[in-house]
Amino acid sequence: MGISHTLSRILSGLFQKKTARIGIYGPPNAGKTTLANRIADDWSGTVAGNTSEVPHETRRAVRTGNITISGSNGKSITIDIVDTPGVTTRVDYKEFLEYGIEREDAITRAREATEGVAEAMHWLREDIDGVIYMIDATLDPFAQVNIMMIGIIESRKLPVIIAANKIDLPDASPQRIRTAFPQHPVVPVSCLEGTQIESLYEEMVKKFR
Amino acid sequence: MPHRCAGCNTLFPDARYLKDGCPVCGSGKFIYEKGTDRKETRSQKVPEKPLITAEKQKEKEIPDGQQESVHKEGDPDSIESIHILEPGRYDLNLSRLIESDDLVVKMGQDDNYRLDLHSMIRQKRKK
Repeated sequence: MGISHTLSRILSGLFQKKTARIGIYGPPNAGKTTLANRIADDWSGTVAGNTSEVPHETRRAVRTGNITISGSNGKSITIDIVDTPGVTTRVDYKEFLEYGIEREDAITRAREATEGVAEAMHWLREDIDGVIYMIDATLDPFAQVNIMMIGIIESRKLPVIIAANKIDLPDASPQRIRTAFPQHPVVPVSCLEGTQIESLYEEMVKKFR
Repeated sequence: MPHRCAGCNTLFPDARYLKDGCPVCGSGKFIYEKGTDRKETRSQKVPEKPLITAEKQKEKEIPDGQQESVHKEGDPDSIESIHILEPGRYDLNLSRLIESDDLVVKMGQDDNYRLDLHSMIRQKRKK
């Protein structure tokens, strides 16, 4: 065993890639935590976080580690899933009042949501190796936040899969999302019902290897 | 070239205060105002020293709701990563948040930012 071989082993050990961290990003109420929970449940039997119809239910990034996902081709990936707070360009406590939350609690929730967005953006900058970007397929995909976030993800050269969620709803149109972002793979899913979730796993194994 | 002070929102007709800071509130951050009519800019003589605090100046000069017209939602030209419209209402500049070395760790009760200075120093050293 020569010196060059030993050196090569040391160097490869030093620069060995850590488990890839895949961030689930998207606007509030797109279904990010529902997807994180489904992935965690399907592949590790755990739960990642609570879900709610009130926007900004997830206000801190939640990491679920060492999840191994296998594809039909026999290949697999081991990843950490990071469920992030909903990203938005404006947080307004008045939005929470409509859900019966008291004013003071709504203001506190808005502060925490703002911290959450800052934290999500910091994760994207420092710790994320790939992104699943969730879009509610019943809404207009050309929303400012989607355009900005996809642009930011592209500028950081991160691999991205767009999940067109909520296809179980009658107004859902994954095709609108494909038209909006033709440069990225778009996988129609219903994270709540599990519809076509296998297609998303296949794409993840392909994209995040 | 008209510039608006990011601290107290005062509009100046030219760039004469960019170097020394705003004569009203002392802030060193200015926003270049594209296409602003020079007639709209501050015409009266600027006092040598700040006479009132930036917060009081803001309350005095900017009625409710007018701030939002200056800081448009998601404005990529804004120099602030988080703009506080009022307690519980915030405009977030996503591009600025990801570019900036600032890591916001807490929004205070009085709606001040709290930044993780250690992480900012560590990032500088890494580079």
